[in-house]
Amino acid sequence: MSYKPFYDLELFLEACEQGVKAVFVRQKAIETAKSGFGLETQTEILAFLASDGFEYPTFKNSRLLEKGNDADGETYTDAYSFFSGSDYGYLSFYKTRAGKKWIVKSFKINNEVSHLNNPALRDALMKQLVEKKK
Amino acid sequence: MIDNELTTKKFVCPVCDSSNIESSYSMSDYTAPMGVPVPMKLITNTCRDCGEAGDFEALNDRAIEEAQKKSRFSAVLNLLSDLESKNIKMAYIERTLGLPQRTIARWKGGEYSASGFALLQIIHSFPWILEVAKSNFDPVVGLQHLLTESTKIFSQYLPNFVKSQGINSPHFVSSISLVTVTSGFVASAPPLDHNDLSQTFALTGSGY
Repeated sequence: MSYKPFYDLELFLEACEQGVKAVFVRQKAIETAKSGFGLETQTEILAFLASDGFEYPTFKNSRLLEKGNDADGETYTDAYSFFSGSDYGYLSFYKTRAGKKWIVKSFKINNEVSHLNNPALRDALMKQLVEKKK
Repeated sequence: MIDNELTTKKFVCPVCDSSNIESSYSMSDYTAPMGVPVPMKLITNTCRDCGEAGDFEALNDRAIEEAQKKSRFSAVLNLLSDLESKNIKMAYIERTLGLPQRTIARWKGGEYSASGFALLQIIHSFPWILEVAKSNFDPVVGLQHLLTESTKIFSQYLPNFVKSQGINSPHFVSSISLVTVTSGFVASAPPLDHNDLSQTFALTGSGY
């Protein structure tokens, strides 16, 4: 497990802008996106990600893929927590070994407790981040 | 058209690029709030080589979107008919919200948008929002309507709730009665001063 992202998040979000041609959302992720966020289709999920729906993304970890055809000991998945309004979410994704498509592995409500659940703390943290960037 | 595409389309696995794909179909239905259930045929592709399963070409998206459209249209008709039965006329909604005339007639004819559908649901859930709209969304009018509605809920549902929970404490019942009477008094009070309200809500951090 690594605590540095394996992929460039911006590249993934740019791929989401291209829609289902560039990104595949797994069936399980569609089901949890529907039950947790009311997003019904792959197109809706990708449009949500591409249009700044992914608020306060926080990198969690990068893990080797454990199951499936790409579980070759070299393919990593990056996981992020994020907010959408007051909903706290979890997203993980990876790029296939062939490199042709991004795969959204998980998109669900994050059951972990975050100190960022408090909007005032969230705003304070964002202000700090913006000042650091300056 | 979708049916035809389901049977003729060549699928490719998004993970391993294999075209050794098996497809199966299932029936499900989509029901919009206040709408009728609309059946839809969904596909599941399974890669025989790597085992990945899902909707590889996002064909289900179109099936779901079509079912959504049909179910939401039935919901639009049901919402409008329900509002009309409560004597809330289309012309009144258009006037208070500043919508062009005959907008809702077009919705009724099937030319509705997702935002129009969302707006109808809001009006149906909170019809008093039209009174607030009529006052150009004056925040004081909004708060007074909110209090009036809260009072109605307190006085209509709370006594039954207390009974159903078997709460017999006279102190609890009298406290609730006091809250009900106080809310009613506040709701029926003359209009409040905007500056006072701004200060009060600034203190509580509600962002008024």
